[in-house]
Amino acid sequence: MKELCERRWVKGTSIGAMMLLLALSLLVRSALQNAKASLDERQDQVAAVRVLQQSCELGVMPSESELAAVGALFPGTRLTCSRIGDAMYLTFEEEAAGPDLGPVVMQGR
Amino acid sequence: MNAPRPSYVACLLRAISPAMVLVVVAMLLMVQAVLQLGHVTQRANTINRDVAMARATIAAETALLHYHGGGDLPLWQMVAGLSVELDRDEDKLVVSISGAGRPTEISARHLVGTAPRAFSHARVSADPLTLKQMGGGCHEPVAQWPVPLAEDLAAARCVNVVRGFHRDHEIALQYLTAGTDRPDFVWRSVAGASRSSLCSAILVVPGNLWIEAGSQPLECTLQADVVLVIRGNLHMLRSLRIRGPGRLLLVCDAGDAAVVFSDQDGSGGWSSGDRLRSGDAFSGPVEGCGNAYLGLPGVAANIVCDAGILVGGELHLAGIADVHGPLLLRHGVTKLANPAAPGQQISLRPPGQEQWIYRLGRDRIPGFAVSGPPRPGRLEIRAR
Repeated sequence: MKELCERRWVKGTSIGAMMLLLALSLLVRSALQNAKASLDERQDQVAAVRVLQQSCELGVMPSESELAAVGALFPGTRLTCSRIGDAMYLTFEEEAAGPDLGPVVMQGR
Repeated sequence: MNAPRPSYVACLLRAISPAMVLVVVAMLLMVQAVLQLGHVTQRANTINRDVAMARATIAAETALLHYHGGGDLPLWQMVAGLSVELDRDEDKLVVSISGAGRPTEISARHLVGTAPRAFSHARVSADPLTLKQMGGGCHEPVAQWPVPLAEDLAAARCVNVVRGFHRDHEIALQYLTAGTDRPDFVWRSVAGASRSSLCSAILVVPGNLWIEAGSQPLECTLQADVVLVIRGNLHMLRSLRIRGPGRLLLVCDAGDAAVVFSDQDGSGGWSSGDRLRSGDAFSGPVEGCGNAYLGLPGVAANIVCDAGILVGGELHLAGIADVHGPLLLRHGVTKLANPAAPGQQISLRPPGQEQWIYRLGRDRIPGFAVSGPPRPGRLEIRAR
């Protein structure tokens, strides 16, 4: 009788452990799916930065919404498009402007 | 009596229990999760590196603009949480960036102004009718037409001292019945090397330039951008392939006093039936000046050119021409029909995947006047 109880206990524990492992695997899988989605979003943002840099180099001014969308990649900063003559540059315009972090003043030297 | 031995399948089926299935499924899911974790980690590393590089390039541009806005060198500042140091190295500005990821060094050429606007378009013409022939493009008025600077040309190296270029007295007679009046230079691959290479920023051909007919394209390696000014006509009788990071611009310079004509018969020289494009009467060397021939009737037809071409005279086509760089036509396009192949297609391919242009205000084009204030050029990235 005792032996039977022990065997049942071992079997139950094993099944429980496996259930736990299964649940854990599903949890990890779900977390990885979320991480993948987040990476996809980040990769899209990196690609968007490149597109913005290229359009600036080609002399096409990006819109405010495009700048804001890409700016999320660099928290605490704001992107802006600066000009020297007809050339355009994608630059940072810091939100917390210190002595070195003020907006860029464009002047030809 | 011996009972029959159960089969392996029967043993396996007897061993399958809900617990066993659970174990197998759990293990498989775990293995898959571990593999996925490795993949995601690797991808995250790559993306983080890309983000760091994007941040570094934008910080570098910010610092470069600070400098061009009136800063002094060496310049140090914090931009977007990065430590940015800017200093000069010969004709380049070098930005050293640290603070996130691997320290990075980015350089940019200091440009004294912007090159002519026309070079930032794939197809340009001063004549609206020519634009129609080209299948569209940008119209650049004659007043703003880019012309090489005389002082830069005077100081530039001549190709007769450059390896790969040879003066040839017979080449013109080989292809043209009347020959030419100006000296003729042939551009060939350097002996012993499969490719030619150029290292000066601006080179001058004091006459006509020939790229002979051949089954294989002429290959040239360029480490930096080169401008080749031809003070005569260009005869490209086979394709031209450019390797390396540099780009080539061929300039067929018509000069101020040149008489430009459309060579209707493809004879390579002024003859009856040809049409004047400038001046009242033909004068000067028989072959004129500033014309470009991409192929000749019966000699070579289809040409693929990796370089950009500025044609100060007339562009002549003998087949399908595919120019991957900017193509600037001051006058028109003449199609040279081959009497031996009357149905042959003669056209200019529209810009495709391999098309390149100069970046407005970011690229230096030696030999041409610049305008506007000084600015940083294109960024060149190298991780330290």
